[in-house]
Amino acid sequence: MAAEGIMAELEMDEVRSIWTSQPTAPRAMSQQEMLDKANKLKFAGRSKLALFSALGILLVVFGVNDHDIRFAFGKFIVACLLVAGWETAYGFKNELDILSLGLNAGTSSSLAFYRSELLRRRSFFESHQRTLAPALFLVLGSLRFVALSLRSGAFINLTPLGVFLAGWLAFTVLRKRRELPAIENEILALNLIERR
Amino acid sequence: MNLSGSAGQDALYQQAIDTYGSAIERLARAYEAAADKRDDLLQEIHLALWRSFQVFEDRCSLRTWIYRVAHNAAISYVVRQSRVNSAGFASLAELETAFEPGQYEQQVERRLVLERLFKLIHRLKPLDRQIMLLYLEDMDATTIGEITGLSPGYVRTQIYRIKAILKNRFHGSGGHHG
Repeated sequence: MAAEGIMAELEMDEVRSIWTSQPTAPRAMSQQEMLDKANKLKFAGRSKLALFSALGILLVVFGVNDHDIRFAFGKFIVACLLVAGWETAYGFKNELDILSLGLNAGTSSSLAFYRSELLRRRSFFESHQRTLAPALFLVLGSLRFVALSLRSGAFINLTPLGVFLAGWLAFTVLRKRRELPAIENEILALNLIERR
Repeated sequence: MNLSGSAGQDALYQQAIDTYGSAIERLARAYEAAADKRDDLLQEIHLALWRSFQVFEDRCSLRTWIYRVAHNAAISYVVRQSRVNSAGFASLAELETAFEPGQYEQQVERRLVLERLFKLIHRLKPLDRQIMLLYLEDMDATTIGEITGLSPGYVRTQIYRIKAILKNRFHGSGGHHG
């Protein structure tokens, strides 16, 4: 039994030795590299903000002139872009501030940190406002276009609105159904682990 | 963001990379299989580590601090990538029964052993992955518990499972590698 135990231990040691002897080339990042990385992260955030601001201005411009059906359609398209952009840039990834990560990552155990990340993500999926607000925004953004289309009898104009709204709702609901149970299960598993 | 760190912060960061740089690289490989994305993750870990030394006040050992920050940064990365439990991830308990003894060749090259290890690690849920990595980095249950916040008893159980899984996967290959 002792010999078998030693053999098993040797094998474990061998696997660990293979693991730890992987070729690596560790190197500290220079101040400049840190700055570049931080700026890159900041730039990504600022680019999104700039894009959203530009779209916001465009929305106002189209909104002011939306008695013309072309502008009303433009307003609807911009509203779609804003909703899709919001979902892609913030909703889908639900990014946290990576730059402040280091300040709390050391003081939390991995268990606590992981739980907080899961809870943050769960609250994102559970929030009705997050689901309804973009839908409401989209409806409001398309009201004038719908009204003008109905008035002129161009019912075909409602197709893009219907397609986008249905697509967006399907995307949101499917994503929630796919991700929320996995997150819930993971939180339950953490609860069980903590009780042990 | 203020990047003009104090001398102490810079010194701690340099010490961390000098001592644990290789382990951090291995950790990044274990959390991200794609090489191009791995560099991003590695940079995020470095940045988080450097920032963390602003508030490091000897509350725990430097090693515990470094591993906590690195793993938490990686966990955050996993959650952000929506990979909490997307299809592939399994717990150690599930993997324990998934491999039959003798299923794998007796003699595998070092590279193949690593490939298998990575395949195994990439399938694990974040906390189990962390235990596995810390175990492979030669840490005991108490130290792993200190880093992860898990009870040493639970960690010991998981290590037992890890050993069983590794034994099944690599049985017989150990003595053939120099």
